[in-house]
Amino acid sequence: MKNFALIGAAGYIAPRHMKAIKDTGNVLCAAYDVFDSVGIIDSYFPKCSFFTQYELFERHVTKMENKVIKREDGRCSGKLDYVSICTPNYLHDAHIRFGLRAGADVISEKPLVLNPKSIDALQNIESETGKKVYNILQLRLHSTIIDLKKRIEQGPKDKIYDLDLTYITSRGNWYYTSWKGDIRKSGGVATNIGVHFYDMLAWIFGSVKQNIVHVSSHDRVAGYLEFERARVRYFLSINYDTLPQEAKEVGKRTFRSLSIEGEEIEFSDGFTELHTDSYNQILSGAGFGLDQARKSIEIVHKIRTGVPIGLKGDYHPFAAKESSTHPFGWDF
Amino acid sequence: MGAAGYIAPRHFKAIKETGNNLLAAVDPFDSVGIIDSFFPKCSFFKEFELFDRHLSKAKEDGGGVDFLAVCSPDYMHDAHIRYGLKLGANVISEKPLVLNPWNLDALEKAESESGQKIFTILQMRYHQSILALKKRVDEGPQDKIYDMDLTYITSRGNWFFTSWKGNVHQSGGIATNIGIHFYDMLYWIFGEVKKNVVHVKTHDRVAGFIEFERARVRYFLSINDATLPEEITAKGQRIYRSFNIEGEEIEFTDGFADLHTESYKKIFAGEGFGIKEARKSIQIVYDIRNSIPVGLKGDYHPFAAKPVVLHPFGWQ
Repeated sequence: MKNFALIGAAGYIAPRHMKAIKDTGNVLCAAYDVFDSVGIIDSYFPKCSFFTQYELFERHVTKMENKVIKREDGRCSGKLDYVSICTPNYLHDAHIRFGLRAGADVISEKPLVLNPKSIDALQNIESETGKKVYNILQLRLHSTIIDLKKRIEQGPKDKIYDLDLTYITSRGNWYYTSWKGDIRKSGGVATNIGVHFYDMLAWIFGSVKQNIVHVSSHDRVAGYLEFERARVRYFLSINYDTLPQEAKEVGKRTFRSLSIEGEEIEFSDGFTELHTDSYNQILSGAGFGLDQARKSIEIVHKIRTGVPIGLKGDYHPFAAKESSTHPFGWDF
Repeated sequence: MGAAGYIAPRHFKAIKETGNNLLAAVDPFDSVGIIDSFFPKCSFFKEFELFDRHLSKAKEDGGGVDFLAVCSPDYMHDAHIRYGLKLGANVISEKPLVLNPWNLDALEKAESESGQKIFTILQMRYHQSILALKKRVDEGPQDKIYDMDLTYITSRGNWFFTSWKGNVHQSGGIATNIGIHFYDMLYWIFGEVKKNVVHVKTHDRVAGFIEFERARVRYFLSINDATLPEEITAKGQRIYRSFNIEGEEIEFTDGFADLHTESYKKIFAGEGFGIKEARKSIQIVYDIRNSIPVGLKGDYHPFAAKPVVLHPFGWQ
């Protein structure tokens, strides 16, 4: 049984980590979040120590390591084995460093970090501490995606596939008030809602040869990516107005489409167990490390810092949709 | 106010199901994606000042809000209710409306000065089993005094004591935080309080005896899983609720899901519960909070004798 700590316990994705820790037969010893609406802990680890101040969390972890902590069930005495991180994106880097320095391996939500150079620095700390950083890249464990990868690998080696990726997940005004709407904190739309798609594409179709951004704003990003084995036009958006009419008509607020040479790949379902699967893989020593995360971080960083060229060349048809002003009147 | 909290989604749902609109929301924490399931166009703020500015501007433009819903930590209700009144809105606040009875006197004054109304959520009064019980008692012999045992154990982990809920100054303690709706229900059915004795009171439990006009109630409320009956622990359950009247068990585990919507409907129909209805239960929990436990004397709930434990953080 491994000792876990969790940073970001009050957030939306935290329950999946708690479930994964429990499902894999391990124990959550300590959790930290600045907000204290964390009753969900009771469903998994009621004995977990919870902190709203970083210093007190850090102190507790040190005390565990020094075997000062005595729990009646005998658990959680001794150093942490893993620190799981599901904080706002811009804090991942700092929290990963904390975990490594605490002598633990780290499991971090995606995006692992916002910039490729942060990965270099983390690699140094990995070798300094002898501890590993793992990234949740759950699409790689999705059975539909695994099948697709197999199909491509077994297909003709010289074939280059034409793909359209469309992902629209409508978010209300709260999005722009939260850290997610701040590009410095979330990395913007491509990073925040798209990084796992870019990772999946690079995983299946190989290295990036060309990365062009057609449209990039506060609520959407459209571009073209050429991989070794694929040409991908993508459109990602959080704006309800960009939904196809037929989705709106049936009252949907999310639209997901991955079309390969005109054939639709269906992967709307099958996400519920992927965090547990990710944990199982990591615990068996086969998780995705810094090197595995690098490609998609490079892609989203390039998209974030690239200058959109407008509607030129081979763009996703939705790129031409009417743009909108920021709901608060801000510049992007 | 309090949009990121545990109970906020029930208010979103109630506002939506009663055909109304949520104009603005505030919470210092920004994990509020749940808003998208109800009111994606809602303006959300992390800072109170900006929320206030937004609502003031809406008012200046001839719009503004009709109702302010409050589901913040207990100790902030009073301040947030006052804010709503000053804004010219009626207020719907979670229970407990306030922590101390005298806060209600001051709120009554603020209410009449503002011309607005304060409502509270007392959802047990809309629960089918409780309505049926009230009817039975109302229609039964008027001189009958019922003997009752109320047991409510809802296990909470260590996080409880780190959060505002574990701070008696902020949550009012166990009786107030997890018990107030039970005391309200008892008063509503059985009438005025004649005697209020506390036997045991610690950070994780409270046991006592309350004599109402028509009932003698022994109660035990706890958040400590070590106080669960053996058979409940054996089944792997962490909650135990028992309401036993003259040896007969009243079942009310289910049927809570829509009671917020029901509460909102009644408020809009002019039948909501205000300060007057809230007062008695606030007085009861205040008296419990400020009484000195007498120990295991007189007619106490059998669970009161369970061994007490130290605070998990070693606090008094």
